[in-house]
Amino acid sequence: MRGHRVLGLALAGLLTIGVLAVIVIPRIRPAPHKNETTVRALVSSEKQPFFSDPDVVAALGRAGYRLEITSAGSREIATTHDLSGFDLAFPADAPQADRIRRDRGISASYVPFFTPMAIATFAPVAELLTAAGVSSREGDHYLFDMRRYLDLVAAGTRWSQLPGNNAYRTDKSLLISSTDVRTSNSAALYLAIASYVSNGGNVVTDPGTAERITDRLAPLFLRQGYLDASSQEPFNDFLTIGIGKTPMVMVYEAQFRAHALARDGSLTNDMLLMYPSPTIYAKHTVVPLTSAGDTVGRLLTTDPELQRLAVRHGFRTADAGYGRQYAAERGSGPVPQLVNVIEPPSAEISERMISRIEAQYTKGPG
Amino acid sequence: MFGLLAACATVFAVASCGSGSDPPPEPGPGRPGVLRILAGSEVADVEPLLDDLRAATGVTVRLTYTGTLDGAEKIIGHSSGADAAWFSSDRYLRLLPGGATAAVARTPVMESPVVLGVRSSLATKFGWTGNPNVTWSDIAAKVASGELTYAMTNPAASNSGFSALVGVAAALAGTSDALRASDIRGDALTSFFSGQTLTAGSSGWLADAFAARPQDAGGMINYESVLLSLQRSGRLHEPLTIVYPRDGIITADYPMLLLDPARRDEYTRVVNWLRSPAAQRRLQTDTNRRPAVPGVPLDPRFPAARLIELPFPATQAVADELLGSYFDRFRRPSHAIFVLDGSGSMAGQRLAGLKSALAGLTGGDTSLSGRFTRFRGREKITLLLFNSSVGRPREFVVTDAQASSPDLAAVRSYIDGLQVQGGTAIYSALTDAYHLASSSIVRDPGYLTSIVLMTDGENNTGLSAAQFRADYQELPQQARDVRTFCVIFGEARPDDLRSIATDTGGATFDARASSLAEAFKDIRGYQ
Repeated sequence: MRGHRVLGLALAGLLTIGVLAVIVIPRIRPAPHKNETTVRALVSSEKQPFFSDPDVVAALGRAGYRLEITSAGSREIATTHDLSGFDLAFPADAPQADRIRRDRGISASYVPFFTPMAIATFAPVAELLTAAGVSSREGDHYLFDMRRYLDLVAAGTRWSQLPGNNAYRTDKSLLISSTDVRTSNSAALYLAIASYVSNGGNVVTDPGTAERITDRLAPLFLRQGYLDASSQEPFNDFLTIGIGKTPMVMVYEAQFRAHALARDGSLTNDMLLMYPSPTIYAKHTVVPLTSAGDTVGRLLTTDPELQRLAVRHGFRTADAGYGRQYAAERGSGPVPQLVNVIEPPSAEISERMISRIEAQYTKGPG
Repeated sequence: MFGLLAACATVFAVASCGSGSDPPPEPGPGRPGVLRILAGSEVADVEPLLDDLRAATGVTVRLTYTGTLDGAEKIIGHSSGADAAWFSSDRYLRLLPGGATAAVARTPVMESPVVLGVRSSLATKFGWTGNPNVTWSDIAAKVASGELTYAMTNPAASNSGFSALVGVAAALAGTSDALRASDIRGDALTSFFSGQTLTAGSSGWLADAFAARPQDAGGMINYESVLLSLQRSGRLHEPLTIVYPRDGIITADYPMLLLDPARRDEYTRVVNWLRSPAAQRRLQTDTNRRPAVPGVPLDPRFPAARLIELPFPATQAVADELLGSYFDRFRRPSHAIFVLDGSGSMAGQRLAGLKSALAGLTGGDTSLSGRFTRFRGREKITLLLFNSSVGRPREFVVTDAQASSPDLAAVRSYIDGLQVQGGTAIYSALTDAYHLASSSIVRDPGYLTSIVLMTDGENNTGLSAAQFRADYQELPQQARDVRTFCVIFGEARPDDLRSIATDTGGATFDARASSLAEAFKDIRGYQ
């Protein structure tokens, strides 16, 4: 139980969002043992709570490693960040890892854990969307029809125009809240899903199509106005301000699951997840840059304790059986098996789409 | 609790110029165990919690207060001398070039929506009591019919005013979506802001002024926390009905920003303590802020009604377009009467400082704060010089607000020619200024008129303080309502100037430790 309590505290306390931060994890702990190897890791910012968890620090320490974490956005890790001096890079997604591997001629990589994109929402909103034919109930979760949603957005649909809407009466546009696509990987994955659907159910592979489709999709972000830089913030608004600000917000499943498993009181009974159909997995991928980085990548993927801790933080791991068992222990349902899952576009195509939206911010939406 | 907030806000006005509070933080590296925070005056009411914070975390927090834009400028320029920053909002900061990366961490600490408090008799008359369906358009209609006036802070000086401007513009655009420049409905906004009869550079000072002079405004747009605190202070002649417009509001989330990564440990301990359930409950009870942490239940003082959050502009271009239009087109134009000391003691550096401060207001100051404190379109400026006697007033009207315009060139040329000699007839000059204001108000009732009194010495000739007061008491009510903002400079007698400010509902600004330019820019927030 001690571990659960600590996790709860970690979640409550470590909502501190690193935009670009260097932290030496064991600062609150005694000086490192002489026999610990220091490994410098460049990690996407949403994993900071995992690496700040004292139990994770201890498990790595038992294996002889002390991680010095620099956190940055995944896009920055793959495109602009200087990797010299790091032992490993750990972006949130496979295409970004692929790009680093290709640029540097590295063959190895590890995927210690992964998590699908999901939409956190409230029961009345989910029911309203079901009545409108956008979502459908599948057991204890909902599927969210991205095609139908994009059609409604293209038509400029407002919440107040949904049939039989007594649950959420506002003239605001029907839009999923997201982070800023210029800085945040969760927004980039949202764009990846939308581009796949807009491209007639195909992953976008050529620059011309990418630009044409991005021009149609840019309003998904620009119409929201000011957006937070990191995925923790709109989810935090979902939890505290609630339906009035974020009736539905694009999140990583892990963010929601971590609170559900910790039972820390932050989720109310009417909060639930809808899974976009199709959805996409954020495959957190370690790219080793040195042999020490390689060992830590393998450790994160194979060490049973570290794998269990990843589950506690809401991630899915290779051992789905343990995930089910732990969820049952915590009185939570198992994560759903998702069928309609797509692959993201390459890092280059993704970058091209994001740059195109970035240009619209600079010139202003009018 | 409110008394404290108000006191801090008042101190802030003075303190920003270097007296009455801690000295500004030393530049250079910080010290372990201390977190130096550059803060907005709106978080001053958290100070009573800081002793317990230190006992629990071992971290000493030092707050230094400054205005929103001034703070943003320092943060982006890495010249704050602070380890962290704590304002009610960082949204505008993050739209600025370099603003999004200036902080290495960001943690929301508490929440308060910007809403409207209306005197309960008016709320009853309008049918707004207990009515969840009031919209910004309904409020705009009561302004247009002349039945409602309100107080609101200056949107360039204070986040509550800026949030209100953004929210009202989005709501009246009819889209409730993120505002684009083409959505801004100028005529509707000009009508709405014609109802703003009281402005201020800080939310706390605004609340004080609103409570002190009921005749000025029928309502006030401010943080829910300020309205609730005022409501509970017992200082209101008539209780307020708080209106949460159905079409949406903008909520401040008071993010604490880490500026220096070397202080991450102290920062983490401070924000974790502030976000602990016990501290969150205290912030609700003592400061009327909503919790920013999931799982802390909402106190019954807050209505359970669902608040719709309006989007904030996505780009600096839209935000600046809105601010610029507010000053040049939407708000009631300002008539600023500057009563300036031209006595012999002002010769040399002091006169140079005065000329430079005034030239800055004509467009010479291109800093972020300078851009939004300069003279604006439609504004009337009267310069009244005095020494042993009072000079002839010189009035300027700004029809073209560009720095290169002939209007502002004329102001600059007049300032360039200022000469100083002789004695200091403060009260004669102030008496003349009030008579001038009195006739000007009759001529142009649409203006918000205020007086700035700058002196570097004590009254040594002309009318006495008592003679000024006797004359002031004989003025019509609307002339007596003109506030005088006093700049303490040189050997001026602070007590004399504070009396003038207190009697006229104004404030004092201390330029001795900073500069006349800083004091004038601060005062611009109140005009």
